[in-house]
Amino acid sequence: MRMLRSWQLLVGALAVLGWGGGKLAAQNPDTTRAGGDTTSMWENQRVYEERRAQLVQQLHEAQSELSELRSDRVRVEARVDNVYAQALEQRARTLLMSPEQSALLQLDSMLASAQDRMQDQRDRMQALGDAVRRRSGAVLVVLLGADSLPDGGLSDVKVVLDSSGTIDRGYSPLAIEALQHGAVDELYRGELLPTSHDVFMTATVGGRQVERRVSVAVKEGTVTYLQFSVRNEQLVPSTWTSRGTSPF
Amino acid sequence: MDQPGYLAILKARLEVMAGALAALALAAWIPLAAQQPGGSDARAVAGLRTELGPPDSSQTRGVDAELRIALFDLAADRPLAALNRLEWLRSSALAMELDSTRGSSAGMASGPAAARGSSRADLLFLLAESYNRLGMVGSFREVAGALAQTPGAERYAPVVGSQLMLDAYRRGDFARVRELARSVGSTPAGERSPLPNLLDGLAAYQQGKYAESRAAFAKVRAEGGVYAPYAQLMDALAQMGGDTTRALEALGALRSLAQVATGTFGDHVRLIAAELAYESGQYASAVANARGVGAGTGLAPQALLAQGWALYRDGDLPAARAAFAEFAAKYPLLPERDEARLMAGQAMLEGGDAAGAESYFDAMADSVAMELAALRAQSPAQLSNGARTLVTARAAGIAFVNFPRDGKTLAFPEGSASNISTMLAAFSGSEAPPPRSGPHIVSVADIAQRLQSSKPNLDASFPRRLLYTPAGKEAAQAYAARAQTLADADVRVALANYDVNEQVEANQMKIAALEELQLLVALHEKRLASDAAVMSASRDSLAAMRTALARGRERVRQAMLRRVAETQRMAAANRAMIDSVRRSLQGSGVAADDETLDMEAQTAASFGQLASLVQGGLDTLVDRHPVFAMVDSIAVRLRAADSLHDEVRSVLAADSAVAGQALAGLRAKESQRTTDARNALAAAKRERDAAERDLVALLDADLHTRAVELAGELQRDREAAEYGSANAAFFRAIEPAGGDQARSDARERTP
Repeated sequence: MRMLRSWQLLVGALAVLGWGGGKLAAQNPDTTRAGGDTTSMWENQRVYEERRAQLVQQLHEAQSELSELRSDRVRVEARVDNVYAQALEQRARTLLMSPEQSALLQLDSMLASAQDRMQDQRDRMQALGDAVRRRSGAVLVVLLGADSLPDGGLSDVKVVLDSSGTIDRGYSPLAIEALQHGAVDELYRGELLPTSHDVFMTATVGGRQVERRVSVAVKEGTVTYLQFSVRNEQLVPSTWTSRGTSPF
Repeated sequence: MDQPGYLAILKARLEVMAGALAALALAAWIPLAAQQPGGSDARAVAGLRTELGPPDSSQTRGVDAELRIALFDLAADRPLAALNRLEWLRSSALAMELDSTRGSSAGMASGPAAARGSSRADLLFLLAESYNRLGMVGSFREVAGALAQTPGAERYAPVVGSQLMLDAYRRGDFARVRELARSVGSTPAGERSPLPNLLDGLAAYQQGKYAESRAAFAKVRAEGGVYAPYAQLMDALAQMGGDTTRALEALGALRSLAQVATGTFGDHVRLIAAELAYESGQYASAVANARGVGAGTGLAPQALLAQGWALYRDGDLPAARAAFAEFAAKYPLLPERDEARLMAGQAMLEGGDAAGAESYFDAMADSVAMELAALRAQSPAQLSNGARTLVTARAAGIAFVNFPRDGKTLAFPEGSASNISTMLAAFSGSEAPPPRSGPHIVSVADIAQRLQSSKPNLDASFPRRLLYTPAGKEAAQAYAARAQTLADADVRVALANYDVNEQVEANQMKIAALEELQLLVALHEKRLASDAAVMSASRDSLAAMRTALARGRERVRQAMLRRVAETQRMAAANRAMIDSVRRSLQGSGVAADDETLDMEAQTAASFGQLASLVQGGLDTLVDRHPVFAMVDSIAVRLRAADSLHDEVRSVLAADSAVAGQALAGLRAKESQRTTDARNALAAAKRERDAAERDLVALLDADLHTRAVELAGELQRDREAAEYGSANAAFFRAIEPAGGDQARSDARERTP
């Protein structure tokens, strides 16, 4: 390829130079006519001066034309480069088969995505089916405790499990006293499918509403505890599992 | 589970899933690309959510949490829920965890409230509190005994000790009260709770050890608080040392208290002051104190009677007559009614109204005779029905309350806020708050109110006076034990019922979870269908692509062939040019020129060979193009996806089958645990029925005895009225001569 481009450039350059060189050669005969007597010496001198000025003028013009030619040459070179690049691109497209490749990539991507989804479905549903077969339940217990409570206490506690169903709780002064002494309120206890569950809690702590949404993985054959603790006016979640710590 | 909402949540979740399923069916029209996850909504939700890491496994923490839930249940007045959990925990192997975690804080939540892990002592303490609150005193005593032997239980000794003292005092075991008083420890703050001292003093008083009781009351008074005034009152009574002749000393001690005491306690103080003043012969003071008792309060009957007697003794006969008559009219059920009526007639008689007294006594005799006749007309079955009704309404206790008329029965409410605060403080190891309310004095009004509110209600024909007639001593003693047995049986039934409900609800939640799985299967089947559509479209696309690729392959091949030909042509041209130059330089070229030309020739030859090489292996090269390799890999992927699709479908079908099978099993037959719970409930009900029968039999027998006694009383009262009438007739006959002297003699004979 490099070889081909060099030849093309060479041909172009020669063509330009040949045209410019011809024009200069046509002016050479006029510069050889000079000489004669003194009278005519002044005359000659004048003629010379005129001729010289004329030649200088011509020289300037020639230089100017040369500059233009140089610009033309750059433009021609650019055009050649452009045509060459387009030709290359076209060839590359032909060789790479880009449209086909692009379509295939899209197809592959769609299939890969479907495959991922199906794999996820298979694994999850197989695990759920196995859990049912083994009759090993999964229990989720949602608790509320209070490590520290500001003035204004705790009220309007709401828990939403998996974006549906709400448990509302209000707390009497005695219930708050119990929380402050380390008691915990069981907000929810129930058998669920052993998968990830979304728990959203809101509460008014010290007159300010706070909220927390957590996703907790409930494991089969265990009791999964999710405790929200009121600490520094925030709901701080923690989770752990135990075996057999559910009366049913 | 007594908290509503768990099942509601499950049902709501199922509804949401069903909604999602319906939405998914509609979304089948939406282009597949639009259904891909990762939309803006999904991102927004993900932004709010905290993904908790894999939970740690901790048996210790699980058991600790269960205990703390029970603590909350107790504080929230759900002792049944607490007891159910704690009894299960005590009987399970999990309790072993508590032996190894005593006092440690490993794995527990941070914060001052959870500074230590739970121990077996905590479990036993909460269990004892549950029994105590539910009135299961036998179980309470057993667990309290076990607690006393458990390491780490020292912190609970003051609280549980006080409760044991109360229990012993209720049972009249004053020796045990005093023994416990010596062993009950101090609070964490180093002070002894005032309640043990008060109970110690009361027990000593009951034993007749007045000096010791006064010492105990002095401690209570020194500590102050809600029990101090009551200790002052009891101290005044103890000062008499059981000798009514020293009533004046006690009265002096009570005067200051009577002036400042308010409410029911103030009434109580004034009533006792009135009685002491009467005993001391200070009738005016007795009247003043008795009138200080609120007219509509529970102690008003006794105050009115005391007032009548004091007025009578003081010689204010019209006022005495009015007081006695008022008592008889207002409190017709009390045993003292006829005493009051007789004294009203007597006051009339002594007041000079012999004719009025005669007719009053006659009317009374008639009235009593009618009542007696009605009582005798009562069939044994009616009394038995009354006994059964009272036991069914769990109101039999009102027939056995001691001294409700004079306010000597105290009640210490178990579930009061102060007691709960004390329990919480003991659990967390902090200082217990002082008691907020003193003992409640049981009055006649309480009995009347309880009787009125009991369900079922006593039949209107039932002679209610029997309930106010003192119980037989043996019956009263037997009642305590049988009533306790029935109370225990009631709680056992409630507990068994609670357990059945919990098992049933757990079963419902299992069913709901399986229904959720079925919905999930349906949801995934829909998703699978959309994935199948993707694969089908991919298959079609791939087929079309193969045709297009065949054309593309030829195009590439031709392009390459053209390049090969051109390269070969240029290589040949170069070779010719080199040959020409070489010929031109023949003889004049230097060695370097030859070398250069050789190099150029070699280069041209290489290009030519390269082109030939490419031409030879062109088909192989084209076949190695990534596009054709990709087609093959997509075909492989498509086959894998097909296989995966079939696999998922098979998994979903299996899940659906297993869920359906499990659901059918759960719906067709209860779990063994539910059956066990129902059996336990049936057994508890049988025990309760037996306890009920025992108590009904006891009350029935005692009511019959009381009926006989009441009939005897009425007979005597009728005779007394008839005697009064005859007496009045005598005075009327001898009026005016000697009447005053005769009345004076009669007054001397009045007890």
